[in-house]
Amino acid sequence: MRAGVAPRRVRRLIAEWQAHHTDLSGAAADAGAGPAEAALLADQQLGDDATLLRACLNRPELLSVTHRHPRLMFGVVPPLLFALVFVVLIAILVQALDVLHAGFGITLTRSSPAERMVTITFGFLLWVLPALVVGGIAHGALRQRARRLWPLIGMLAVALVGAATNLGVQWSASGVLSSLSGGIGVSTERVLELLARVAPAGVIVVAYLWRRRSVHAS
Amino acid sequence: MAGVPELLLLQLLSAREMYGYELARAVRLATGDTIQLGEGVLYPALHALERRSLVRARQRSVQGRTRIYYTATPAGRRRLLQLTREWRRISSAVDGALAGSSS
Repeated sequence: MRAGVAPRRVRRLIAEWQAHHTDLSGAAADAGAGPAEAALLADQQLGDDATLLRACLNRPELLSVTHRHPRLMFGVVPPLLFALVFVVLIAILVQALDVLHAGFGITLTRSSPAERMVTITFGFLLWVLPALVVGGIAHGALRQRARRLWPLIGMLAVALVGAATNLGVQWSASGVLSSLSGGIGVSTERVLELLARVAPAGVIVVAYLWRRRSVHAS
Repeated sequence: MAGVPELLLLQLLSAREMYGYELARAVRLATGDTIQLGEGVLYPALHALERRSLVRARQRSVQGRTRIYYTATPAGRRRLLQLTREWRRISSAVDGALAGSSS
């Protein structure tokens, strides 16, 4: 049911079916049926799982936002979320460096905590964040049993934008941090790096397609 | 015909607040057992009506059991009027056609 129906509706529907089943078996028991017979009668009156599931999935009003708007939920929201997290983390990094320098008087040199902060943040943004977002799309699509198209488009968009994003740090001749830079672009000199950065997302996409195939087959 | 369950549910829920099992029994009683809604499929229908703001649901604790009670909203009552008018129009037309073909 979660593959389509909004989760909070699933919880309530199951609770209501269980309560109804209890009422039906209670009524059957009051009419003289034994416990097993009462439960069986209740099952028959309530309907089998396939009937109940079909009744839910045939009602567009009950479907989750993901099913009603797959283009938005897989194709638009994840890339926007990726961009937002990216910008926020860069802003936090810049602010942290400013605090280190202006607040604690630490010179932002290569051997200072500044370099570690920049390296860790850049590493996360360039190598980990795209894979996390792609993984999130795959997880959501599998859980909701969404059609392939929009999740794949979303994963591809995030993987390519993530791989094409470049971040740089410039150090002065005396080893002091002079600037941070960033942009989106592909350079023929960095094709191998681009491929390496797309690779984790590629692995996730393959795993998603394989898992999707086995889920749909079962 | 597709609107018949909605019509019945709104009619009964306009009269008083009921929970699912009670509503299923009420449909059978009101229609003299002519119409027996599949009991389990009643709930997706109720949830769909709630999603369209035609009924409202609230939890009540009765004799130690928590139940979800449904009642028609003002929009639900307006929808009931509309469905009733439509039903009467259609059934009158069908009656007319049947009377015409039998004479």
